[in-house]
Amino acid sequence: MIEKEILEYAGKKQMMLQGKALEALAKSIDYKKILDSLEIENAFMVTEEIVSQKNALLKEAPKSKVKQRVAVTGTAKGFKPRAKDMEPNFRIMKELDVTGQSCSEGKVSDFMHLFRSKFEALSGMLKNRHHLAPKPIKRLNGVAKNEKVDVVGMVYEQWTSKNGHLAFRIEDLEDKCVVLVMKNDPKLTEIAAHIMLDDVIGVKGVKFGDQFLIAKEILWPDLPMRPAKTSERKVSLASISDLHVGSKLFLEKDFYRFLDWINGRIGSEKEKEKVGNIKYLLVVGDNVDGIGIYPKQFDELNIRDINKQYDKFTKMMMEIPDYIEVIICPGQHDAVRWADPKPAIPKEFVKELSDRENFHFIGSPGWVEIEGLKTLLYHGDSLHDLISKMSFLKSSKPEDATVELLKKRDLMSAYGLRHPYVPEKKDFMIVREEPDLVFLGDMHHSGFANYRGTTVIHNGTWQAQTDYQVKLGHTPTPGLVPIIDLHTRKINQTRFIGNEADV
Amino acid sequence: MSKKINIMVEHAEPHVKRYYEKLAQRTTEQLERATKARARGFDIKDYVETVPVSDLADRTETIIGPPGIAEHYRKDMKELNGDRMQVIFKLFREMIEQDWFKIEDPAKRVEQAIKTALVINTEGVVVAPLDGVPKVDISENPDGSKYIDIYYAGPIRAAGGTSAVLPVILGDYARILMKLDKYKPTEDEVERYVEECSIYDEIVSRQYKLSDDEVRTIVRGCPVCVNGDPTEEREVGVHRDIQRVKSNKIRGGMCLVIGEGIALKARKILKFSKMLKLDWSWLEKIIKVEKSDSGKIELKPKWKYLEGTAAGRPIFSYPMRPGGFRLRYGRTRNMGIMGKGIHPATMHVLDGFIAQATQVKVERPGKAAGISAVDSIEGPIVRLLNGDVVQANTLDEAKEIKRKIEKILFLGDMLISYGDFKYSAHPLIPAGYCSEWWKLECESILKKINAAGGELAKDIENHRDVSVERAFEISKKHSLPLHPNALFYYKILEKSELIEMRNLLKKAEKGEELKIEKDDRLKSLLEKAGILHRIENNRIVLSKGTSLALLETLALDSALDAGKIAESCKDSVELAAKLSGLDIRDKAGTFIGSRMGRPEASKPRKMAGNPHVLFPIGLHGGNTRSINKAMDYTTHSTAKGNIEVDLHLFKCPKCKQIKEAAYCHDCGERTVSFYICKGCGSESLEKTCPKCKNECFPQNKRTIDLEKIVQDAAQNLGMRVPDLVKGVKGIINRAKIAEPIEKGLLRAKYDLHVFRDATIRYEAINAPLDHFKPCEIKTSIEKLKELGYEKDIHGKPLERDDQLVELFPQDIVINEAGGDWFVKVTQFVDDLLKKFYKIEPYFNAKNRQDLVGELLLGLAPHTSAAIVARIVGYTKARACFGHVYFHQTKRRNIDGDQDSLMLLMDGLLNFSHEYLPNSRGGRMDAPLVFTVALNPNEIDEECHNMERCWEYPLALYESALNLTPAEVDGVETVLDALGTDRQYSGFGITHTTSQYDAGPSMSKYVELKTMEEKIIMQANLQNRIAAVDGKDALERVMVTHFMPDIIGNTRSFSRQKFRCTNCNEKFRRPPLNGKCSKCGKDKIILTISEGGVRKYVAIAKRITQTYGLSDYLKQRLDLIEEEINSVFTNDKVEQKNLFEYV
Repeated sequence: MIEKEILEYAGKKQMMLQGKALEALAKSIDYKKILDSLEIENAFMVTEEIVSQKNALLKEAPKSKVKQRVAVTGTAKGFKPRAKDMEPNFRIMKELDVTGQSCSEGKVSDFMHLFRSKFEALSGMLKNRHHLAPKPIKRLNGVAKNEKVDVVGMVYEQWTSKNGHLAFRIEDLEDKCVVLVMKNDPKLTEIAAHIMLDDVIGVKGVKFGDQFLIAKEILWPDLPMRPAKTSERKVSLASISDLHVGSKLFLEKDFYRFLDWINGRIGSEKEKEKVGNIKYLLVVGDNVDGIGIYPKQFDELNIRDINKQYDKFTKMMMEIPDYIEVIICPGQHDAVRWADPKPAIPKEFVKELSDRENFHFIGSPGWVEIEGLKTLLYHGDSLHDLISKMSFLKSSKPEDATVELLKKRDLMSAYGLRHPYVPEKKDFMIVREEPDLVFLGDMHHSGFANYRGTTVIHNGTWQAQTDYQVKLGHTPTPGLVPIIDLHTRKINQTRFIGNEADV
Repeated sequence: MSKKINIMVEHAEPHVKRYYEKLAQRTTEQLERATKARARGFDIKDYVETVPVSDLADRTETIIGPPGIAEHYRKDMKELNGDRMQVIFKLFREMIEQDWFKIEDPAKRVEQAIKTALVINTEGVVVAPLDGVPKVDISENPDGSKYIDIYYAGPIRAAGGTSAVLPVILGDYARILMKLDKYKPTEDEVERYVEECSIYDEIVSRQYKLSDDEVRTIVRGCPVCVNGDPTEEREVGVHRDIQRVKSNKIRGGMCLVIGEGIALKARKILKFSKMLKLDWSWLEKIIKVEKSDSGKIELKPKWKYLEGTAAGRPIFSYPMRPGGFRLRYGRTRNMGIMGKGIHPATMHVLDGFIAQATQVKVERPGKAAGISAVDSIEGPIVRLLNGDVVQANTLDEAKEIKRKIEKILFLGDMLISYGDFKYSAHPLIPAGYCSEWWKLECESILKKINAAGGELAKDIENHRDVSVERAFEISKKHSLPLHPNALFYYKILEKSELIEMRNLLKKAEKGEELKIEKDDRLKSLLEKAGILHRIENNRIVLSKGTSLALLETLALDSALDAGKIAESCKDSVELAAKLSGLDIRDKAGTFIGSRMGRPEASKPRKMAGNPHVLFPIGLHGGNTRSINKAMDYTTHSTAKGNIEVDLHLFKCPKCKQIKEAAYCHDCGERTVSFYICKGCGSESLEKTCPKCKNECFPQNKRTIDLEKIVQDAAQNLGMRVPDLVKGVKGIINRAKIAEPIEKGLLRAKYDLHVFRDATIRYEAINAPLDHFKPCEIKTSIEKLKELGYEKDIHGKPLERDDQLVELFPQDIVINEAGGDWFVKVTQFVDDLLKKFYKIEPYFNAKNRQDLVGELLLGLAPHTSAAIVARIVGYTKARACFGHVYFHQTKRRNIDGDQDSLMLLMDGLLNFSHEYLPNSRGGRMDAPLVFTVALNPNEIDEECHNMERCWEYPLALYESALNLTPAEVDGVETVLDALGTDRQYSGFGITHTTSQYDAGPSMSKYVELKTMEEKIIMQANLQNRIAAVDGKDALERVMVTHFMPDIIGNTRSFSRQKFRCTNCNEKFRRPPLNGKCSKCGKDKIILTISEGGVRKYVAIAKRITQTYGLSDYLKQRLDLIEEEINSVFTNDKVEQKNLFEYV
């Protein structure tokens, strides 16, 4: 009986087998290989899940070497892209980018300055945009009890009072007060659930006590309602993100299909016409998988050298037709700092690309004005903290979280949680301009939203589901490329992966 | 008031009984003195608060109750023949069914019963039941049915796996008895458990991780709800706001029980559930594969112990790597059960990283061990710079060659006890052939041939020193296996290598000593097999004995075709046997991997801020919490020394003044505690205001005249105020009760610092000892006789200081500096008795020798039952040597942990429950009760596995060859002697050691000050050891210690907290007005500095460079350095500078 053999073999290794795991092992190609490799990983409890994963790896193993692609340069014969003859019309908004102006010295005064300037900028927007007549908090003393009063403040902490009301301590540059949202005001309570630490909010309320008021209305700086702005000429923009080049899970074959497509080598005539309109390609971070990003990443890497990862990335990006302007921002896997805001990927890693005229490296967040449309690129690091703090947000709908950030007009969601922020002299995380297009990545899940004239586009990924995502129950959406027709603001998405691949 | 202490030592030899009478008498005497002092009424309670208890039953009743449990427990133990588990189940049922004790509220009743059962299960020593299971409730399922809800908290960690799951089993039992329903989790709740356990795995790294499906199986199957209060700041992301789970934060106690309790202890649970006829069959889904009996178990290297390698703590040997520690079975008088013995010469050769009692992590059988010096086993074999390969068999030899060592080829033996294998449930593994094994075979042959022995008897007696010539003689004559003195580590050589070596050796110039032209290949083969040689005039020279051994074993003079013979041999040992025609055994056996764990330690315990007294002075004493400074505190509106503090309310019934202490020295009256109403401010003796029914508080914030209080106290003591007396910022107990400030003045005089329970502690690593020689502990024969040591192990009267004597179970040998420190403590206590309590002093000790025979208390962290210990002598080693029983009574398994010691009198006079914080775990590490005489039956079972024999049976070595479980007939263990008069005495040892505390007394790790020095020394040592892969070892250190540190610090910098230097208030981010929201000062600073972030980067880079570590590591360091620069360097300033240079 093979079962008995397996049990004995596992017994020698002092492993515990789950009932179903035993069945799975009995059916597997080589149970010894599986158990041997599990022993190396110090596995102790063997489950069906683990066995099936190992089985899959075993099956893959022989063909794991991806064929070295013969370099195909240039677009396909007969492919006449319209965009080729267009002059580029875009401007990188360097003034809003930390690249080259990271002035933090890591002093306590830098942190102080950061929050004060954040307050000044956001409270200014708030006052301009809403019907607020805020009083400085220190002047609350002069207000009679039960009288209406407006204040603006940055949230320092929040808690639930003994009686079940939501309480917020907010402060302005001089003083602080407590704002209560009564539990018998369910509508406002629901709105208040959107308040994150360090939000700058406007409160319309009534005075209750010294430095104490009851909120009737809560306002964020927010974006104004605008009509969707369009470009004058017919031109399109495509975006990708989260390639994770160097990872064992990088979907290289599918990415090459994307490269074939953008060069007009594959796809229907109609598809090729669509592709021919693409003048801009945005790449929104996590271009490589990096090294040492998380513990034991070493074992997950195909390329264990940061320079070689970028070499590979470069080699692939060189295949993008040279009439397309490529704008690339970093993610936390790139060779830049983990903390936000992130400067552009240093030249030394992507020298060949930097030397090309049509490649542009910017920071995250970074701004580009494309065909007159203000475009914001942000890899999306702060979304994790936001989603974990707000129960109504889900990582499978990242666009909802991004809309929250836009409402706050701040890409930094609460200081002091998991994600770090560098105290720059100028707060690059504030959404100073009113963006027409916002591109994000990081969540490995695509999503779209229109919010007050702004279009939010979340890119998927080119990395297969990681163990970590399996654990979190997060299913990524790899191989999707959105194309935005800037003239009509219509979005089309092309799929490069799986059975339903479009090309 | 004081009663005579009942010590209940029923079964013991007469001299042990006399010993315990002495202990009890001395304890009683001290208790009386302390009772007299406390009766003066100067303390918060006018009686002694740490209570002597006679046994487990007594401890249980004192710590947790219910009243009457002690009597029932003792009765049932007798009736059920000492089966403690059965007794627990019986008592539990009786408590639930309210047989002899009633609690109306069913939830409260289950809670009491579960906690009582847990206390008994943990020998009444661990506080986990009090704090690890804070609450048991009866809650409702969505369908309205009721179930038992068990709340776990962090401290359950300290209770051990069995105790963690016992409440769940008992909960199920109570559920049946009380006719309640099962816990019925909703799908949402199940997934919540899954998410929480997976996040918890990220927060703390654990022994092993459960799969999500296993968590689901456990949650769905477990008939009671494993619940808990939140312990972590992290919140769940997905399964939030679930009705029956009150918080979104992670419940650490729950995760521990699900992950480490139920899953790991599945078999134990099934055993218990069968005893109670409960249905836990669902747990069988998680099958533990039984060790197969048919297939042979294979020995494979285990890498686990190398995880968590730390900087400065070297790896000594890789798993099963030849040249590592060679396994040798045995137990010496300084090993206890889990301790491991190595040769003191090895300690020196390893650059002194292993000192006496240094903790070492080992590949097998267990995890960690304290190291003891044993000089009757093999020392290390090393190659010197001049090419000589020598073995150091004495400490002096080791010291002499230490500087000339080029490579450490063999680390020597590691002595491991049979009981250690038995306790760890690790199969016995082959030991290398050694003289004691040879001796056993010799004896069995003698028995067989029924010979009187003659010459052979002499050889048996001197079995360690049989010469090579004699070894061959015996083997040939009696067909006995060749004595190990004539053997080398042939097994390590491949067959082809052995043949090659033979061929090369054949070229040697014949003579008494083999001499041969230096040949690198031959030299490396000799080194590999551990064959000693020296280099003379560019020739390899083998000593007479070695030459003879090789000549005979490898049949160098014969024309045998070794290659041909080898074809039918499975290994080199067999080949050697065929060549020599003798019975050749494997001398290598099993090599054991090891690395350094925690360094040894022995020092006074310090609390943050090093206070002398638990008296609050707020921020008025500055950062040093100086009471002297606070006495000078003035402002425009307050008088000198008037400070505002939060203190308990006492009032003197005579002068009606509000006081800070339980006694008014002005009127000579005991004061009375009272409350102040929160609502109307009126004073009352009740918690609820009789007037307005508002809540009243036993403390308030008030201004006290500190200067007057201190000066009065000094006057009362008749001393001046010491230059620096340190108080605390605030009091942590709920009622804000402070210590009498006099105690602080006296402690300051002797430079002694107080712990949070008001005792003074000394901390030392636990080290085992069961026999000693008077000369080793520097105590005179007269004194020892006075202490009850009458005879040596052979029953001869104690006369000389080199006789071996068995240690009494509660006698300890402590570090000399610790002895000097305790002299100061007795002087403090004497001053306290004389000047504060105004009664006669007790100790009058002038030096540490005066303290021999004095009583201390030993206490382990996480526990709350202390045990009386008696100082019997001193050692230079930085450890507390005590009997296995003593350490085990504290619930320690002596694997290199440290416990604390305090003067018994200090505990009696100064400890009070009232000082303990109310926080969870607050009662841990406090002497709530103390045991005067331990009972070997009531200590952790693991020491019952310890052998107490004088030698092992031959069967042990033989069954070890077949990897059979450690169940060998004829090895007497502690369990065998339990309940007999021999249970406290007559312990045997299999190996001798000339000095129990030989070897370095301080680990190199402690001696070296900077991290860089430590790691360079570590790298150099690792590179010198043959059994270590130097580069890989260093890389492990970088990856597991340095990189996480560097990355963690860098990332934390940009999400750090802030702190006010004035009042220590912490801020998540700086307040917008830049001022501390508590004290109003603009003194807010960073909590993580640039220096802290950059600290290790430079060292890490240098090391990576110097030792040529991997490119991956180099790149990671470059990237992280760039990251740091980008946070701390201003782009603009840099640019300007560059520009200026141009």
